[in-house]
Amino acid sequence: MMHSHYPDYPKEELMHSGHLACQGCGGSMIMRHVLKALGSDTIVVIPACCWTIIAGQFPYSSLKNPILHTPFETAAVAASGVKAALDIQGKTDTKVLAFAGDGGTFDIGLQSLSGTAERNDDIIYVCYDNEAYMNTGIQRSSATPIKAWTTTTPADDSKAEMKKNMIEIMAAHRIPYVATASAAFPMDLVEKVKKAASFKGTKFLHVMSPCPPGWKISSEMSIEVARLATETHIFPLYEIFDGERYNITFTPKKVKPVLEYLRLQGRFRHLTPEDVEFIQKRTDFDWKMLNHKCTLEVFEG
Amino acid sequence: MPDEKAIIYKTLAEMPEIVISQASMRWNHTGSWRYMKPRHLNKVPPCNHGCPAGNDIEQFLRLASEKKFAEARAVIKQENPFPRVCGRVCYHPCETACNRAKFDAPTAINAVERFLGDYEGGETVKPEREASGKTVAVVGSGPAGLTAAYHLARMGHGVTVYESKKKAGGLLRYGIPAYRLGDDVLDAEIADVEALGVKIECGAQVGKDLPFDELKKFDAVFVACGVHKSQKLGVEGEDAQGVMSGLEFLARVNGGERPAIGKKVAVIGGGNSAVDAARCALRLGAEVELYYRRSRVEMPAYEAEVDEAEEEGAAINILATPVKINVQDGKVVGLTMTKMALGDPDESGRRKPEPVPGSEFDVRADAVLTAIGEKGDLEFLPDGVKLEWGKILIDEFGLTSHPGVFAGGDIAQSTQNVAYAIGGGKKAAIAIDRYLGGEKIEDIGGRILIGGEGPVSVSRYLKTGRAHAQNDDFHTVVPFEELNLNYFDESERSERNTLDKAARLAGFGEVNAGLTEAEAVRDADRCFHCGVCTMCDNCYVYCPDVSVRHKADGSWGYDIDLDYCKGCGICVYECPRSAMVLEDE
Amino acid sequence: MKKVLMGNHAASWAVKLSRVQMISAYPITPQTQIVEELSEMCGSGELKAKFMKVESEHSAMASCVAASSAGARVFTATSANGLALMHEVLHWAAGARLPIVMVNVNRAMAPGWSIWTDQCDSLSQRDTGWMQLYVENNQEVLDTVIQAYKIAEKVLLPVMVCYDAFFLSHTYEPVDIPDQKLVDEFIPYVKRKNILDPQSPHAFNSLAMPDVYMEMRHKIQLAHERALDWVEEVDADFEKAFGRSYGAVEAVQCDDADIVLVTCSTTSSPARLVVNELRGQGMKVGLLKMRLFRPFPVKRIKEALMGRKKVIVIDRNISFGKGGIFADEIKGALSNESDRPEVYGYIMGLGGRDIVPEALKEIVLEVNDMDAPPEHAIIWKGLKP
Repeated sequence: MMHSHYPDYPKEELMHSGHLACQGCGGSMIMRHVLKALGSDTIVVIPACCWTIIAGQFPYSSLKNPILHTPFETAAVAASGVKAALDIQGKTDTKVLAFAGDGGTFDIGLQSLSGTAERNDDIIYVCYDNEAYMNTGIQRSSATPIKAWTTTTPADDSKAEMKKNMIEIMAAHRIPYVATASAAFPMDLVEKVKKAASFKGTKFLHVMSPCPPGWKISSEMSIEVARLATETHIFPLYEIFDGERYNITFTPKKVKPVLEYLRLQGRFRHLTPEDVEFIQKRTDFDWKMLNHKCTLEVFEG
Repeated sequence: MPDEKAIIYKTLAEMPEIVISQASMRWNHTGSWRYMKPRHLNKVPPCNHGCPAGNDIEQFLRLASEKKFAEARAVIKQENPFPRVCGRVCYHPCETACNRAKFDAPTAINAVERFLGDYEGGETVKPEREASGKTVAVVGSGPAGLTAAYHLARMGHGVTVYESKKKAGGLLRYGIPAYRLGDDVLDAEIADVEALGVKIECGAQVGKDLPFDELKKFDAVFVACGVHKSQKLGVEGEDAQGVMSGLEFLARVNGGERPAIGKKVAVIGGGNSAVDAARCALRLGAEVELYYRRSRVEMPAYEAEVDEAEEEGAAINILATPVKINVQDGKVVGLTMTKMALGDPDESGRRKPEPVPGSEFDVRADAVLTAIGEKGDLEFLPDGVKLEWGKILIDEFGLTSHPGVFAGGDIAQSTQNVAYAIGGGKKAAIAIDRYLGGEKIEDIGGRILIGGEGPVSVSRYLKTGRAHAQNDDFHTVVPFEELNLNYFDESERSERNTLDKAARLAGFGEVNAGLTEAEAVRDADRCFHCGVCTMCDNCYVYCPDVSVRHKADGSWGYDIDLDYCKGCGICVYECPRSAMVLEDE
Repeated sequence: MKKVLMGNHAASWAVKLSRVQMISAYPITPQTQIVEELSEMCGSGELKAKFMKVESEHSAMASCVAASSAGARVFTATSANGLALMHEVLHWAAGARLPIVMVNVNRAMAPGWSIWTDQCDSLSQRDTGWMQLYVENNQEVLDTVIQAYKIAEKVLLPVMVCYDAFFLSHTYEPVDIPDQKLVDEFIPYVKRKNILDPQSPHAFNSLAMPDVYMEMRHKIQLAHERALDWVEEVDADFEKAFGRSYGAVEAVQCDDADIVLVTCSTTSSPARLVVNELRGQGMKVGLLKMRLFRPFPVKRIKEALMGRKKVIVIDRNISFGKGGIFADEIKGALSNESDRPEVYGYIMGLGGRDIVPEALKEIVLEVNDMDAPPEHAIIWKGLKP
C-alpha cells in the first residue's frame, strides 16, 4: 500500500454496486466520495435529477444511507425540513445532505436553495454539475457553458449565454462555507465535505461532474476531461468562507489552454477559433478576478 | 436488508404500504452492460527491457525507496552478481530507456544500483537448488564468465573457472582503471561468486597451460575468454620504443606498474580503451593528446567518459589520424598526422573518414598509445566451433555450433560491454542448465525473455521472484505514451558527487563518489514504476461502480467485481503506469 | 377554558394543543394570523416547535413533507394561490402517506385579485389524495384540527381543514379551549415506523415502475376508504373526551323532509335558520351539512338523501364547464340509485359575496315550485341580470 495516493480516503462504502448510473458517470463517483466523507449518520435528500434513477427503483436503494426523494425544486428546503425534524427530536448529530443536479440547483431549485441559505439552515448542499438536463436527454440549463451543444442549443444555434456564476450567488448569501470541487480531485472533495460538515449553517459545494453521454466523450475520458476543466482554469477549485474570504485549493502545475479541454468533447466540436479565443480570454479574466478576490480584506466584527 | 436478490411482488399484501426500499440494488448485476473488461496486468518497464543484464530495476528501486536496502540488493543479486561493479562502470542503457527521460530526467538507476551494491548487510547469496552432480568449465573470469559461473552455481552445478591471468576479473580488473573501479570492490563481488562454491583457477590459460581437450571431463563448457589482441595501426614506426597498445598500458597500470611514457603522450582511437588510456596517462603526469579519425559524435566511448577526460586536461583532436610514427634512435619522437574529412556513410552507417590530401602535420610525442580495436585469440578452440567476423558464432542463448560448448561476452557477442557480457553469461547459464537437464531452451525462452526478446530473467526462470510476477505480461514494454502523466511531478535528478580535477590527477582515487542514502532513496522514489502496479488506488477510488476493491484478506493487488463492473475504462485510463488492460469480453 | 377567538387563532390554539413539532409556512391573507400567533407561541416557548419561515408555500409544503418523513408532527396553513403553488407537493404528501395537517382558509383564486372566500382553491386540490374537511365555526376549527392529527396519523393520509376567509378566519367567536392533558391523551405522540432513520435506512419515494405503481395507488385509495369509518370513530372518541362531535356529515331534520338543502362551511349557519323558519311554516325542509369531502361519505349522503324528493346543493365554487362541485359529487353518489331525488345545483357566494338566509329561503321556495331541474343544470343565484 506504499504508494496509495489516497491514504486518508475513508474506507466505509455507503454506495452499493448495482446502481443505475451510466458508464463513467461523475455523479456516482461524487456521491460515493461525499458519503464516505460524511459517514452513515447522514440522511440524503435527492430531488429530480440523474440520481433519481441512479438510486434505484422501488423497492430498492443503491445507498446504505436513508434517502428522501423530493420534487425537483425542493432539495434544499426538504433538507432543511428533515434537519428541523431531527433537531426537534433531539437527533442533532445526524447530518442532512441535499444532493442535486445543476438544473435542480441553478434553475428550478434556486428559490428554495436561496431560502435555505438565507435562513442558514444547517445542511450540506452538493450540486453535482453536469452542465445540462442530462436525465431528460441533454437540454440546456443555466449551468451549460457558452457555445456548448445540447439538444435545445443545437450546434448552429449553440448556447449564447455564459454559465451562471452559482458560487458567487451562494457566497452572496454569506453562508459559512461555499466551495467548488471536482470528480477528478477526490481527496480535495472529501476534505471539503469534511470541512463543510464542521460548520453550522448552510454549506454549498459545487462539484464538476463529467457526463460521458451528455458531453459526447467516451466513458474512460470522464476524469481526464474533468481534470482538464480545472487545469485550464475553466473550473478552478476554491472555497469561500462567510461569503468573503477566498482560498484557491488547487493550482495547476502547468496551466493548459482551454482548447485542450474543449477539443476532447463532442459538445464543443462546432466551435470556431474565435469561439475558443473568447472562452480563453474569459477564462483568463475570471482566473485573474478570482486571484484578486483572494487578496481582498475581510470583515472583522 | 436482504441482499443480492430481486423482489418480485405477487400480491398486494406482500407490498409495503408506502414507496419504501426493502433491499439494495446489488441484485442488479450491471456487469451485463459491459463490452470491455478491465484487468490488472503488470507489464515490462522499459528500464528492465533496456538493461542487457536483465535487472529487475523497477523492483529494486521500489524497495530502495522504502529503505529496504538489503531486500533491494537481493533483488539485484537475483539477476546480476555485480551491482557494485555495474553501479560504477555500466553505461546504463536502462537510463536511456527510462520513460522519465522523456518527462524530466531519467531516474538515477545506475547510481542507486551502486548505492545498493555498496550497502553492507543482508544475506549472502545461496544456491537455489540441491547439488546436481553436473560440472561446467568456464574459460575466462571476466563479467560473462563469472556471471555464468554464479548462476550455474545457484542452479546447483559444480563450476570451475579457468583464468589466464594472475587474478580473476578479466577486463574488469585489467581493462578498467582504478579511478573507475577499485580492486577492493571487484574482489568483494568475486568473493560472493566463490562463496557459492565456484572454483577459480588463475594462471591457467586454456590452449596453453592446459589443452581444451582437458575440459571434456566437464559436462559443459562456457567460453568467455574476452578479446585481448590489439589491432595494429599499420603505419611506419609502429614497432619503435614508446609505442604501446592501450590495453597493455591499462593492464600494466592496473597491475600497479607505472610505465615510463615521458612528458607528451599521443593516444590514437576513440573508444573507451583510448579514453581510459588517456586518463591513466594524465594521472602519470603526462600531457595527453587524443586523436580520433571521425567526429566527436561518432566516438564509441561513452560521452560522460570523454567529458571527464577533457575536464582532466586531455585534448581531444577529431578528424585526425597518424600516417607515420616518427622515430629517432629507435624511440618515438612524434607522429605525422593527416586531417580527415567525412565522406559517404560506410557499412556501419557512419560517415566514412577520408584523408584530406596535403593536410599532413607533425606533432611531438614521447609515447604513442594505440587503442583502435581488439581481437580475440581463438586458436585454442576445437574444430566444430564455428566463427564469424572474428568471433565465436552463437545462437541467442550462447550455444555454439559444438554441442556442449557455449560462449558469451566479448569473444562471442557483437556489443562489447560489461552489461552485455553479464547478460550473455546469464543466457548461457540458463541454456547450459537446460542442456544439462536434457531440455531445450526453445521451450522456455518466451517465458524468460524480457519484453519477448533481449535480456533474460533468471528469477523468472528459477521462480524466485515475486510470486504473482509469474502471471505478468512479460512481453509488452510500456512506452512513454501509455503513461498517465497527470500523476507525476517533475523532480530534480540526484547527481553523484565527483572529485575535483586536482584530486583526480593526484592519483587513481575513485572519481565518482556515489549518492548519499537520502539521495538514493529520493531518486528511487522518482521511479514511475512503468507497467507495475504500486497500489496507488486510482482504480479503486475512481471506480464509479465500487467494483474495484482491495483484496478482502489485505494481500497485494485488487479484485475487480465483474458482476458489477460496467466496463467504463476509467480505471485503465487513470492508471498512472499502464499496469491495467482493457480487454474484449 | 373559554376564550373569544378569531378562527385563525382557534387554528393556532389547536396547533399548540396538538404539540406540533414543526411548522413551516408562508404568510398569505387571510391566513396570516395563524402564522403570526404560532410565531409568538414558538418564540415564547409555549409551543416547543421548530418554525421554518420559508420563502414560499411550495417550500412550506416541501419542508412539511420532509419533516414528516423524518418523523415530526407537522403543520402548515395557507390560502388560495398559496395552496395552488403547493399543488405538486400536495400529491407528494399524499403519495408518500404522510400525516400532515394543513389549514386552508378558503379564498377565491385570482385573477382578478380577491382575498375573499370561496372554495375553488381547495376543491382544485380534490384529486391530490388529501383528506378534506370543511368546518362551520371557530370551535369546529379548533376541534377539527385536533381531530385531524388523530385521523391522519391512523390512516397515514394528509388532512386539509378548510374554513371560509373572513367569515371565520377574522371573526371572533367564543371558543372552548380544551385541557392540554386531555388533548395529550387524545392524540399522544407515537413514533411512526418507516421514517428517515440512519439506524434503519430506507429510500423513500423512489422511482416506481409500471409493475408496482398501480398497487401503490390502490393502497392510497384503500386508506381513504378506511378513513371514512375512522373519521367517525375519532369524532365519537372526541365527543367522549370533550363533549362535542360533528360527524362526517350532519343531517338536520332530513328524515321526513321533502326538500334537503346541502351546504358546507359557514353557509350551513344561515341554512339552519332557513330550515327552522320553513319548518315553522310547515314545509318539510331538512339540511345536510357536508363536513367531510374527501373521502366522500357516500353512505352517509345516501342515508340522508334517499327517499327525499328534492335536494338543493349550494356551491360556493364552480368547476368551469361543468358546474358546482358538491352538486356534481352528490349527483354522482346517488346516480346508481333508481328512486333517487332530483338534485338542484346552485352557484352562489363566489369571491366572498354574502350568502344570506333570505336568498337561501328564496331558493327553497323556488325549487319547491319546480317540476324538474332546469335543462341547463347550473343555476346562478344573485347574479346581476
